[in-house]
Amino acid sequence: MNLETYQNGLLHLVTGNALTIEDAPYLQSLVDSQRLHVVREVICYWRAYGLERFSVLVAPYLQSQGCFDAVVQRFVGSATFSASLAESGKRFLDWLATDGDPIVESLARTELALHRTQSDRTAVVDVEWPCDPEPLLLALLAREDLASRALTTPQRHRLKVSRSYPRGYLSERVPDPA
Amino acid sequence: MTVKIGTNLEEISPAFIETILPCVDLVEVVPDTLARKGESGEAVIPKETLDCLAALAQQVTITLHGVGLSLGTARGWNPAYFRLLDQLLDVVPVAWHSEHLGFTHVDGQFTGSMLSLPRTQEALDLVVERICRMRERYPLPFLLENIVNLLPDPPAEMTEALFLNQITRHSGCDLLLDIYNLRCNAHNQAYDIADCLEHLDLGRVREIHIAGGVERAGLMLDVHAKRSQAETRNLLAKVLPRCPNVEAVVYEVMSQSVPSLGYAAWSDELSDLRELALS
Repeated sequence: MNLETYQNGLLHLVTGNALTIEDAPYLQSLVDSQRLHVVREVICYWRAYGLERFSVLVAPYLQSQGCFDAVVQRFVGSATFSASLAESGKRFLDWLATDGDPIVESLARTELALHRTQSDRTAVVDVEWPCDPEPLLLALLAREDLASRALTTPQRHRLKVSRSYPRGYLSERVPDPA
Repeated sequence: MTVKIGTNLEEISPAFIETILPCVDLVEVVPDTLARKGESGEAVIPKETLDCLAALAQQVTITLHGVGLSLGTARGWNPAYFRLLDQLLDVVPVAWHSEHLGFTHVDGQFTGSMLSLPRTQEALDLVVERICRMRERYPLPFLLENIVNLLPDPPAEMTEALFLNQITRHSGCDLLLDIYNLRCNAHNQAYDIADCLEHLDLGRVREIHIAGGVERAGLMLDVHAKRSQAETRNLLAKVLPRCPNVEAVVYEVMSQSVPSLGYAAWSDELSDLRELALS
């Protein structure tokens, strides 16, 4: 087993992929081992750590819902992961923007919009919300405990994200269709 | 020589400046964690961070400690890390820089964790050649750190001590001896620390790392979340007098653990290390 074979095999194993029958006995011996399982756990832990640092809105929201670690595990299993925190964080938010949960989707789009307006002073991004985002955003930014609070009464809103607004965004209610 | 006491810096915060900086002689900057995505999409160190580090360098010795170079990848290391080094070395006076004896990338794909190299002649030749190239590019001391291996050792052609001795001898680099990592490997791999230290060229040790980690499924992990354990400090006390050229002892803690560890415990650890180094 040369160095390249060893490294390719380990990459396969730690990212949860299967080996082939031709792979070296050393690599075969790691399959289903507890040590490999711990290495995968550590990898997931570091990734969750990075995403938690990157995401100031979605990560604390998912944590308040008690599902952050599970969501990260799903994300890690869905695609290759970059060592760049910014790149991984952006991919995480892109992925959550089509998550299926309307609040998570809107929150991820809002965070992406905030990143965009940070790098582009003139950008204006509209984000549709299924509820009034203001109480949720304020609570998240203040790191308040969300678990016991009802912050998301259904009510369509549009969040306009732009550097031209004093707080970086403006929320307006969208009339329900007649 | 008086041994400097230092700690790592993953994030610059007012609390670090106020509480930790007065306790240290040396700050070990982790370039990868300070990098942000630049306008062109590449990882860069923001100008305000560089300015802050240049100001810090007026007060303490600055060293760099990378995690993302992937020194041991068979098919090429990570060039993005060199951009960070270039940026830092342009503006910050740095005493030395260091990396881990392992790999984090395979064919450009991030493994998610530092993985260890097989101790073979092929790996030795690769690492020596890479370090020589790096020493040509950056004319400042380079240190190589021993890492934790959670997986069983792959088939090896030499012991870890011999592997490290060969690398330092043929590449001219020095060692960053991580005492906590030695303990992890001893616990996880039935590795004989005394035998390793007996055969390791301790004259090449310029820096020592110490940390406190966590256990999972009976394995000691390289997750720097706590104060160092008494066993780790006892080992440090035994190793330190045997390393005639050591210049610094650095306590590592990851930024995520600072809220639970607390700045008071962090500074207490540094005070204890100073006392130990002076004794």
